[in-house]
Amino acid sequence: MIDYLISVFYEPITDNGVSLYNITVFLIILILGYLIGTIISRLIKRKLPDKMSINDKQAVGKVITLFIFFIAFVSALPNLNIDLSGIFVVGGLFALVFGIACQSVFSNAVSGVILFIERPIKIGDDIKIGGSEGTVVDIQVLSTIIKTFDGIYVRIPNQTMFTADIMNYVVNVARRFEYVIGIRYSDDAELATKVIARVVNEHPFALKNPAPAIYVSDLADNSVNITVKIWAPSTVWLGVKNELLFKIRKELLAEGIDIPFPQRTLSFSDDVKDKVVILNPSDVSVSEKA
Amino acid sequence: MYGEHSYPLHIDEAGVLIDIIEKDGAFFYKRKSATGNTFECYLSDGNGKIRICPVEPVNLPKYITDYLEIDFDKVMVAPNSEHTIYLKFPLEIGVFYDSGNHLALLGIFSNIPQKYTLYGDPSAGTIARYYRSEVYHTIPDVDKTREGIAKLTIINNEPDIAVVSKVVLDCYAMKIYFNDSMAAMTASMKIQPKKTATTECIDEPMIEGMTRSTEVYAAFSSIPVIHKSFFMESGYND
Repeated sequence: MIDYLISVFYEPITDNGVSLYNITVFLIILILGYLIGTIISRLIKRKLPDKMSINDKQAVGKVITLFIFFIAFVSALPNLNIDLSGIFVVGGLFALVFGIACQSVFSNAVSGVILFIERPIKIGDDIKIGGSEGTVVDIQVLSTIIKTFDGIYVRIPNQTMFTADIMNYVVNVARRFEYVIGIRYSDDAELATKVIARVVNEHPFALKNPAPAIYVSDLADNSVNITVKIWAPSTVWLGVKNELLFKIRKELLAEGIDIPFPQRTLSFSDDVKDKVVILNPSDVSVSEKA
Repeated sequence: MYGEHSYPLHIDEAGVLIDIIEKDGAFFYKRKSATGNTFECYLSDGNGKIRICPVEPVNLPKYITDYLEIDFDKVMVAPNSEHTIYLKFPLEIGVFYDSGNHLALLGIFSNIPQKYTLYGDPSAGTIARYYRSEVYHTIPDVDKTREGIAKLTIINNEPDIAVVSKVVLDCYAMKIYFNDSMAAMTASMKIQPKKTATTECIDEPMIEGMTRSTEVYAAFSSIPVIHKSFFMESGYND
């Protein structure tokens, strides 16, 4: 009885000589391929960076599972006595066409992987890339999503992210900004410097260290220019910059120090002095109307 | 001021005014700090309590860092020795609403201005709340609404004299205790080779009988605060 069952098991049941044994081996290889693919994809998914989104991790996992299953399928096909040469020719052509069509997709995917490894940016960073400036919202396998400071959604392909110059405003914990504040020549520059120093020192986020630098930097045409250089935490620097400028202006005014308008002093020689007629604004207005 | 209070409540101490009065069937909470900062809200539950205590001094004007740097005059610590000093640190005061089962932060205020600094360099350094303190060898007098006392033990097991003039502490692990006269914390600083040091906040009251403060982090985080230290790799003096 057992001998009979064994002989049936190995007996060809199709025209091309495939037996139950061949079919069983074929199915076992497929099941093993699927199991191995699932296990390996799970292991690789665990090793992927935490910053990668769950969707991307699942996509990578599925690609790995399918790839291993495909290898298992091709390996199992000889059990069904199928001639693979034709499949390989068609597969090769298909791969060529697919590769050309998906060139940019692969390029973006590879760039994405390199970005994950190099990490020039991370989610939450304020960056500038090309003409876009904003906060990184998501880094996906093929693209990076930025929300501009105006609240606009921008999708940047990872290939662009990889090749373009990226300016990351917050990768360093502190950054410096500066103002050039012009005061009148009649104002006390030393007092102005003290007032500015007091305002800067009173601000919590104008860092104590590195110390701010405040000095007269230029005797310009219309003003004595005071340069103010301040370090602030990168996460709040813009707010500090805007807030301090207003406070400095307010405190200088309170001390009677003003920011001058552009002006020219004209001197006339004695022989033309009597011929110069100075019009007041109302005269100009009348003549223009006329 | 510090401690747990039922309401109606009226506290007027060192420029701080906290009032909880019954109004329109609910309780109206109003707080004014010595700097003039005010906050108002309604509390619906009359059975709750108000908890006022010193909290980690890194929340104002807004939270940007976990670290506190205290600078002080140079202290020479001999090789293979320990030296304990007392420093003052800035206080922030937290007001919590305790409904019995849940804790809510009603606000944090401070009677002392804030200043921040950078420990280390801009690329790899750490933003820290800055405070300058004198060095004391006995427990100094403080205005408990403005400053706390940090007991710092400097341990130098290195073969050279350590000249220490700053300490950076991780406020995430800071344990502040208080009593009627002061708020205090305990910390240690272990000198390491190459002018570096490791600092650590210790969970013990500076004086026996002090009450432990509610921590802002611990009160609202489901993640337990584990033993945490800070490595001062950019040096411990100027």
